[in-house]
Amino acid sequence: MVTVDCHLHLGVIDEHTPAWWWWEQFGFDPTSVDGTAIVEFLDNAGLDVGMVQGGDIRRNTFHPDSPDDRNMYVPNDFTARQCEMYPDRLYGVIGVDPLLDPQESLYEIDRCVEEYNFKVLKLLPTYHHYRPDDRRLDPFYERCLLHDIPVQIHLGWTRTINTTMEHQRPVYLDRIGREFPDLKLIIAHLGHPWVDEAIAVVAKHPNFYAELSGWAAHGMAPHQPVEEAYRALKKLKAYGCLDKIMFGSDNSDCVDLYPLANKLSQKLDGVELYDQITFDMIMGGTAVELFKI
Amino acid sequence: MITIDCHLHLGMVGTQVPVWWMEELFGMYGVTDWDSTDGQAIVDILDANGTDAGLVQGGDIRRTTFHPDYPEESAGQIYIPNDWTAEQCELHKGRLYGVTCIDPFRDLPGGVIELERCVTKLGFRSMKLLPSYLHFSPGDPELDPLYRKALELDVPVHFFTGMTPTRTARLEYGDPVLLDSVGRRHRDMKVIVFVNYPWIDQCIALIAKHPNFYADLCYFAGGDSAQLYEVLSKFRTYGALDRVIYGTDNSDKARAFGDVGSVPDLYYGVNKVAEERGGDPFSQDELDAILGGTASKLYKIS
Repeated sequence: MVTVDCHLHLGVIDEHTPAWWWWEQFGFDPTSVDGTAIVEFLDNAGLDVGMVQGGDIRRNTFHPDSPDDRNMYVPNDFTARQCEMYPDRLYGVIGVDPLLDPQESLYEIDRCVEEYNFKVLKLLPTYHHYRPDDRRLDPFYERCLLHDIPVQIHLGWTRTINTTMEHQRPVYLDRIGREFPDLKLIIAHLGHPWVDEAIAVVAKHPNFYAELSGWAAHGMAPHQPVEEAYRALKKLKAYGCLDKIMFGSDNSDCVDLYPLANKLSQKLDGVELYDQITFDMIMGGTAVELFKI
Repeated sequence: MITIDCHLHLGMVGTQVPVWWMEELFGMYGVTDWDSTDGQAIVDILDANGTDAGLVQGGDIRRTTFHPDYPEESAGQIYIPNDWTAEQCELHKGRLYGVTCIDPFRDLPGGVIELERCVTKLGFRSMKLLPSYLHFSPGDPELDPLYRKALELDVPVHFFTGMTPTRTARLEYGDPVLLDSVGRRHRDMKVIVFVNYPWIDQCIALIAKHPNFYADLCYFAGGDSAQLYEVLSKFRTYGALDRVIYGTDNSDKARAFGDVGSVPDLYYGVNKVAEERGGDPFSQDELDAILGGTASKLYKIS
């Protein structure tokens, strides 16, 4: 069984991300993350493969005290270089700001898929200030269908002050599910704190998937990750969609999250949350199929 | 240690607020023994809860609040003037502090002037806004002059969010997420958010995100220590526990329910819950800050 972490971030402090943003986002000393750091992280967690993403949030992210220090940009070329250094361990996730230059962004998707073999497009509505069902995004969903790659969308909370919370709700994915029924869509972070909305749209749309990355990250959300993961997974199980859940860490040490949630289920309900086959799907099987790795 | 209740309502039934509205407000909770509340009644609540000081608010929701069966009783009400609030504070100096209440869309320039008058002439300590009652989005840029004035006067702006039984209130404007743009555009303005059902987790996330946002926990005054433990733990995880402040919304558990202690007892009970669950306790310093220390800095009350 191949195990996959579907949510990992790259970024070198000062070169790609200013230190102030790191403090705002995480509240502790900035740490650069390159491909080697990610592979070490995977090795420590006992995971085989990682999906690594850069990103471009220059257009909307700034701090009033450091107006010129806003280089929030981890280029796809940097991501590609890290993947080339670790073939079969790291696979690229396309990061674009779709509204910065829509046509160029579409070309960038083509380039990343065709030249670099990137496996998925990442979108960040709350960082880029749009609703995911904004019709300006439709060409991007069409492009993903054309290349037969999934789109992974950040839904839910983040500490970055310039993000817009009104664009974090999973319910805004429903039109995409209706109008692009063949598009494979991954809800990052299960939309926390709009978890029930996220579960509802994952259950409703057969090609919607989700991951709980970041749930165990320090100072992030939720406050009791095991308990809340147990509750969410129990609901997902009731809807018959546990096999649409994928393991993702958001660079945090959480490889035990699912086993601990299962242990809690045994304790509270006297039943397993999942069988071995479903657990294998969560830890990599579903991702292998979805990303074609 | 000073203890401060950040959320207390004044209002005289019949002259300032109509009977039908009190019935509408309290009927959902099965409460029938509501009464007029003047400064003395508030002091009685403070005493029952063992609290030193309280922030008292009137209100002006005349423009949007009515009952179709009682059109005459609705006229001119619901309005508890700031000057009357000031009189009650004057009667109970050192115990009661005023909260400026205005309807910004009745007269926005007038509202800015009224805020300045209340703070500089009447010694009021904050401003309360009621987006859902008064049918506006708190992120409406029209409100910016009011926010700039609050920042200039260095007083916090206290927002109602969530649901209310008042039927003319518009629930969509009670969504705390609408405050996110306020935090982005007015980073230095101090904001107090009434954490309320049904968007409690979203509200906690909002407050955690904005360093100058504070949480008014009066919604939990009617609950139990287990519920309070959950919510305080969430704020602690987000690193925002030092921005949580105690309020009661006039709840006096000792009087209303008889068989439990005062509202602060709910807070002191959280460590029993922590012990039962094997969770981390809250230190005395943390509880003291919630019950008054943080509010004393925020409202400049010593």
